[in-house]
Amino acid sequence: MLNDFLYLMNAELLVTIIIFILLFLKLSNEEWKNEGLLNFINFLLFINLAAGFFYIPKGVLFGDMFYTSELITFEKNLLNLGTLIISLQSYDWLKNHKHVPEFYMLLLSTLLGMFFMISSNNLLMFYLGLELSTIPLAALSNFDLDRRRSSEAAFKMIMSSAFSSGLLLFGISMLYGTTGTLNYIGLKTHLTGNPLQVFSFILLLAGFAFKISAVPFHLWTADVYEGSPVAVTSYLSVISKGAILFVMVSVFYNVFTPLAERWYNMIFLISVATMIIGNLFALRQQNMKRFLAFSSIAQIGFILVGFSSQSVEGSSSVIFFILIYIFSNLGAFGVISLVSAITGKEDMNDYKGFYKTNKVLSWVFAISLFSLAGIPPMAGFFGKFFLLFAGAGKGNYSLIVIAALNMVVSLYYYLKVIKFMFMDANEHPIEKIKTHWQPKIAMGICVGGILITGIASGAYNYIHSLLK
Amino acid sequence: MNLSLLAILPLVTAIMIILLKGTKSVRIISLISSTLQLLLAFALLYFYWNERAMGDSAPMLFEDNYTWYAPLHINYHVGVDGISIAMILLTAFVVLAGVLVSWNIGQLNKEFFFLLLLLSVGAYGFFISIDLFTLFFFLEIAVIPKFLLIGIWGSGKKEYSAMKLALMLMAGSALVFVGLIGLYLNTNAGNGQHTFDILQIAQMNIPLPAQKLFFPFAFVGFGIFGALFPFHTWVPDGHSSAPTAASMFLAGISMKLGGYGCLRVATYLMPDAAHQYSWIIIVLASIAILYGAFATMMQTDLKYINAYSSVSHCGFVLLGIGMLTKTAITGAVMQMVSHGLMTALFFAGIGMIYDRTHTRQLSQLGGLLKIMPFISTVFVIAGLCSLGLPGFSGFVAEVTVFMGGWSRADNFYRIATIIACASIVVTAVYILRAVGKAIMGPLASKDYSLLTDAKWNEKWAAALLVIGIVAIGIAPFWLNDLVTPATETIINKISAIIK
Amino acid sequence: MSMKIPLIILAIGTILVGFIPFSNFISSDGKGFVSEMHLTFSIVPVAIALIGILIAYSLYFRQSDRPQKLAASLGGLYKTAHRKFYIDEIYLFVTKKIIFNLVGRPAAWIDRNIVDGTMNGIAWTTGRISVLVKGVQSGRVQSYALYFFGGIVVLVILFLYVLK
Repeated sequence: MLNDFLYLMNAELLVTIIIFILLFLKLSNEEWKNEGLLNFINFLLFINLAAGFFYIPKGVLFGDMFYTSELITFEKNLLNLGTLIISLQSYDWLKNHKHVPEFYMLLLSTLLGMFFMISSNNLLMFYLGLELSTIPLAALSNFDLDRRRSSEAAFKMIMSSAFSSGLLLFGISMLYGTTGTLNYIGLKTHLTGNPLQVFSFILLLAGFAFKISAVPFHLWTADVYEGSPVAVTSYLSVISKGAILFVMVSVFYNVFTPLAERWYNMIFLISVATMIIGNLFALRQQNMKRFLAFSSIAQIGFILVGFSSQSVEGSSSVIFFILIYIFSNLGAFGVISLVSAITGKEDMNDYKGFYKTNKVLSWVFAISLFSLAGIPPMAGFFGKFFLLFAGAGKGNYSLIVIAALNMVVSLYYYLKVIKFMFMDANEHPIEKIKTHWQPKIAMGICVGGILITGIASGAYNYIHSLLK
Repeated sequence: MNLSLLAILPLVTAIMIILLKGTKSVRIISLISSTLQLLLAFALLYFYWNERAMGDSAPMLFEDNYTWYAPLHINYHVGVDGISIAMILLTAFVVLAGVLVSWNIGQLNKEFFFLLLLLSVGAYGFFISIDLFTLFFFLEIAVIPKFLLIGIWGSGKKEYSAMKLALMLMAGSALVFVGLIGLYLNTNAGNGQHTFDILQIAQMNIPLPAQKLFFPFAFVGFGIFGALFPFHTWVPDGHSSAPTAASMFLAGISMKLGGYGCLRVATYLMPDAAHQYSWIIIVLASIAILYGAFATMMQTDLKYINAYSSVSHCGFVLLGIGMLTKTAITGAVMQMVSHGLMTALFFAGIGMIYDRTHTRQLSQLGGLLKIMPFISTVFVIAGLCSLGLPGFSGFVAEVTVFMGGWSRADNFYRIATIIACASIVVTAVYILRAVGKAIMGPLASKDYSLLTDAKWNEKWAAALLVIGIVAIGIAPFWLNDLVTPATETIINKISAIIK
Repeated sequence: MSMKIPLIILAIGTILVGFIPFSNFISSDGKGFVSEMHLTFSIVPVAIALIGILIAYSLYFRQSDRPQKLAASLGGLYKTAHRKFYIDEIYLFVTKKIIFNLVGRPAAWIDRNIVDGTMNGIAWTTGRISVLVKGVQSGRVQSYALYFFGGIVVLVILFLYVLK
C-alpha cells in the first residue's frame, strides 16, 4: 500500500517535499542571499521536471479518487516545464524581492493543487485541487507589495473565484443529487440527460469557463493580469489555463459523453463569442500585460474550436496546442518580464524602436508573437491548423470560417506590436537590457521549442498515441 | 535530384547570414547562394528533360515522400512537373536579380538579405510541394518577410501598405485554409481515410456539392494572392511602397503563387466546380484586365503604374485558367513566367531611377535618356514587353491566351477574348506615355545632368532578366514544350467533364 | 542632283524585286504563298492614282491661278481636306475627353475610393465595434459577477427551453 502511494503519487510528493524544504529554509535564522536562494530553487525545480520523465506510473489510489496514467504524467511534466521557465524568467524581479521563499511556496502549492485536479477521478477530489490551486494564486497576485494595482488584482481574483467556485459547487452537489455518485466512471453510467443534470452541467461548464477565461466569464482576466506581477500573469495565462484544459479534456470527453450533443453546441457558442470578443478587445489595448490577457482569451477561443470536435484528433490537438502555447506565451512574457523588472515600463508605446537597442530580445518577442499568430515555420501554425482541422471534423464549416477570419484580425494586433518594435522611431527607446543567464536560458528554451516542436512531428504523434 | 535542395540551400544561407558579421560578406554570400540556386534550377531543367526523353511519363518527377504527421495523413511530399519547373526557373532569375539590385541597400542589410532568402525558401517550397499541407505551409512562410521588408525598408506610406498587404494575404490564406480542409474531409482514400496528397486527390471524384462549396474558397483565396478583382487593392500600395528587390519579388513571384495555386489546387483538384464557375472567373478576370489598364492610365507615379499594370497582366493568367482549354492554360503559365520577368525588370528600372532622382512622379522626370542610356534602355525594353511587342515574352504569352480563348466556339468566350485584346491598346497608351515622358524630351531638372548611369550590379541584374524575356520571346518553343505535357494532364480531367 | 541617283536605284530595285521568289525562303515548307490576283482590286486604285497625277500635273506644273480658283469654289471641302479631315483632332478629342475623362478617371477613382475604401471600411468597422463594446470591461467586480450570472442564465434558457 505504501509502495503504491509512493510510486503513484511521485509527482505530488516531490512538489510537497520541495515546499517543505522551502519552509525550513524560511524558518531557519540564516540570512540567505536572494541570488543563491533562487539558483537553489531553480535547481530543485529542474530536478522536479527531470524526475517526471523517469518513472511513469499508472493506477488508482484512495478508493478510485486519484488516478494517474502516462497521459496524466505527460500533462504534469508540461506544467512542470512551464513552472521552471517562469521561475527562470522571474529571476530579475525576484532577486530584489523580500519574500522569495514565500513566493515559491505559494506557487508550488498552486502547482500541487493542479496536479491533484488533473489526477482526480472524482468530482470532490477535483474541487479540492481546484481550490488548492486558486487560493494561493490570489495571494500571489498581490506580490507586487508596493503597488495598489496588485492588491486590486488580488481582491478581484478572490472575489470572482469565490463566486464561480460557489456556483461550481452548487452544480456538483446537484449532480450528486441526481446520479448518486461523484466518481467519474459512475457518473458516466448514471447520466441520463434530464434537465436538472443539464443545468448542473451548465454550472460546471461556467466554472471551467471562468478559469480558462472564456466569454462571458472572462471579465476578471484583464484586470487581474494587468495588476499582478508579470511572473504571476504568465503563470495564470499558461499554467492555470493549461491545467484546467487538461481536466476539461478528461471530464468532458470521458464523463459527459451522454450529453455530447448539448455540450457541443454550448462549446460552439462560447468559442465563437470568445474569439470575437477577445480579438475586439485586444485591438485597443495599450498595456502589454492587458494586451496579452486578451490575446490569450482569443487563443482560448481557438482551443475550444479544436476541443469541440469530440474526437481523438481534437483532444490531441488541444494538448499539443497547450505545449506550443506554453512556449509561445512564455517567450512573449519573458521579454515583458525582463523589461518590466529592469525598467518598469509596461506600456506598448514604450516598445517603439525596441529593435534599435535590443536586437535579440526583439527577435525573441517577434518569434513568440508570430507563433501566437499562427505563422509558419513557428509551432503556433501547426497548433492552430490542427485545432481548426479537428474542429472541422464535425462537419460544421461555419465555425472554421469564423475561426479563420478571426486569425486575420488577430494578426493585425500582433503585427502592430511588431511594427512598434521594428519600424517606429522613438526618442527615448528602452536601453539595452543586460541580464543574467537564467532568463536567457528560459527564453532560449521557449524559442527552441517554438521553432522545433512544429516541424518535428514527434510531439504530436506521441500525444496522439497516448490518447488513442 | 533532390528537390528539397532548392528550399534548403536558401535556408542554410539565411541562417549563415544571421551568424556572420560585416556587410560585405553578407552580400557576397547572398550573391553566391542565389547564383547557385540559378544553376540548380538549370540543372533541374536538364535532368527533367533527360528523364522525359527517356520515356518517363509520370505526372510528377523526382518525387520524395516522407511521413510527417501520420495521424493526420500529412506527408512531406515533393515533386515537379513542367509547370513547376517553369516557375522555379522564374524564381531563380528574379531572386538573383533582386539580390544584385539590392547591393547597396544601406541600412540593416543583414536582415534584408535574410528576409529575402526566407521569401525564396517559401517560394521554392511552394512550387515543389504536392501535399496540400506542405503547400500551405510554404505559402504562409512568405507573408511575414513581406510585411517586414515593406515596413522597414520601404518608402511612402510603408506601414499602412505593409499592414494592408499582410492582412489581405492572411485573409487569402484563411480562405485557402478553409478550402483545403473542406477538400481533405471529402476525400476518400480507401476505408474512409482522408489524404492531403495532390496526386491521390486528382485521381478521386470529389462529390459535386463539396466541390461547389469549397472551390470558391480555394479559388478566391489564391486569387487574392493573384490579384483577382475586387481583391487586388493590396497590389498598388504594397508594390509601390516596397523596396525595389521586394517589389520585384512581390510582383514577379508572389502574385504567381496565387495563379499557380488556382491552377494546381483549385482547378486541378476540383474540375467539375471549375467548369461550373468558369464563367464567373472569366468575367472577373476580364474586368481586372480592362479595369486595371484604365486605372493605370491615370496614374502619375511610376511604381503605381507598374503595380496597376501588374493587376491587369495577372488578369490574363486568371483569364487563361478560366477558359479551361489546353492552349489557354499553357498561355496562362507562360504569362506567369513572362510577366514575372518583365515586371521584375520594370521595377528594377524604376528602382534605379528612383535611387538617382529621388522621385517617382512622372511630372518631375524627363530627358533621362541623355544621361542614363543603359537604364533608359532597360526601361524601354520592359515597357515594350509589357505592351506585347513581338520578340519579347509578353507577346508570346498573350497571343497564346487569346488563341486558347478563341478556340472555344462560344460567343461568351470570344467576347471575353475580344475585351482582353482591347486592353492591349490601353496598355500601349500608358506605357508609351510613361516611358516617353520619363526618358525623352528635355531634362526635367538641371540637377539631373549630374546623375550616373547603372553600376555593375544593376547592369547584371537587368541583363539577366532581359535574357530571360528575349529567350522566351524569340524561341518560345522550349517553354511551350516544357509546360504542355503538364497542362495536358490537367486538361484531360476537365475535357472529360465538358464533353 | 544628289538625291536622283539613289531614287533611280530604288526605283529599279522596286520594279525588279517583285520577281524574286521571296516567299519560298520564308515559309515553313519551302513552298511559296500563292494567291489569286483580283483585277478589280488592282485596276481601280491604279486608275485613281493616275487620275490624281493628271490633276496634279494640270494644276501645278505651270504657274497659274487654277489651284486658287479650285480651292475657292470648293470652300469648306477644301478646308477639311487641308486640315487632314480633322482626324488628329478627333483622335485627341476621343482619347482625352472621352476615354481619359469618362473611363480612365472613373476607373482610377473607383479603385481608390470604392474598392480600396471597402477594405479600409471593413477595418474601420471592426475598430468601431471594438470601441462600442469596450464598456463591458468596466473594472467593477459587481458587474462582472452579473455578467457571469447572466451568461449562465442565457445558456440555461437556450439549452433547456429553446433547443430541446
